Amino acid sequence: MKKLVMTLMLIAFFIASPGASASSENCQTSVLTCPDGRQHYVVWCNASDWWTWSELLCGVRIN
Amino acid sequence: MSVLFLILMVMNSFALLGQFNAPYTNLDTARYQITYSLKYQEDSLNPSYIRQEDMVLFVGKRQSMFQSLSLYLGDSIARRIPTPEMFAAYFNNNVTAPRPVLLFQIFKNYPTGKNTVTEHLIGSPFLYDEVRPVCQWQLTGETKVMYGRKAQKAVCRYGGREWVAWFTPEIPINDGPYKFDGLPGLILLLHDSKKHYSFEFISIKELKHLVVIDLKQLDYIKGSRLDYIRARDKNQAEIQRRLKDVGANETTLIEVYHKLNRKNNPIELK
Repeated sequence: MKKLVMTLMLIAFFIASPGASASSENCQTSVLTCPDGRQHYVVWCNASDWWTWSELLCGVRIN
Repeated sequence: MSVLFLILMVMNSFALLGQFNAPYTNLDTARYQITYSLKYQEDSLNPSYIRQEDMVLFVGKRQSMFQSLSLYLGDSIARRIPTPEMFAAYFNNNVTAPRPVLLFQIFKNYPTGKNTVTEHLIGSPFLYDEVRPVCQWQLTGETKVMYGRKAQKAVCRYGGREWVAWFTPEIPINDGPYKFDGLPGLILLLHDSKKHYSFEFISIKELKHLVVIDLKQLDYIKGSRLDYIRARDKNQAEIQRRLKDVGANETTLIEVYHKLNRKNNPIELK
């Protein structure tokens, strides 16, 4: 029984390990708050998506 | 048994902690950090609107990495944040948090003899490589003292622009900003003939602390440099589509449309 539990735990550990998966991208919808307080819904999958939306939605206004 | 159980649980927690951020491939250890100031004209029709971003070049024994300093700092923070919710909360609540604009990274001499470039497009991080050096330098014979060092001028063509570099043999690092390297000394100043993009040397320091040159393992779309340029030019429609999908109002859509239209002067024109 103990051996079975240990084996299951080892399998769970290796499945959870980041090195075991080719990608850990996790897309989701969040509220992005600009420094001026404006808020926007964005779908983002990684940090660079977030920063792209941040620049486009909050960036400098050009007159 | 219980001790082993505890060890496995702790290890598993660390493994899960890293899952928001993709794993990295370590390439080299940086020996020098060189900082440049980039000034660029984002809109070819508006010469009075000049953007500025500090850029950083980490030079290792075999490879170097060039990117925006803000991206480097932002990514350093992001790596330590375990979940997307915590990431969003951190960057929403810290007005002083880095907000990088230029999201490309250039890994010179990786793989050996080539450069690897990662670019970011919404929904599709892109990776391509190209043979280095990216252009054939011609020395003009002109010299001048620049930042207290004797510098020489070289010119080359790349990406639809004529580039002018001033390099100094007094710093024997054959590297420089963006994709440019291969001169007998560090590039101190690099600009295109229209001065739409200008990289100016700020500082160099020998690193005493560990900085790893590493490449993030995302689900990159892989292609050639020209594939990237084609994808870049189509990305505006994708951005608008995604904004509509989350119910952005008309004002936001128009504002973003105009911002995207002003981004019409990329560093590589073709």
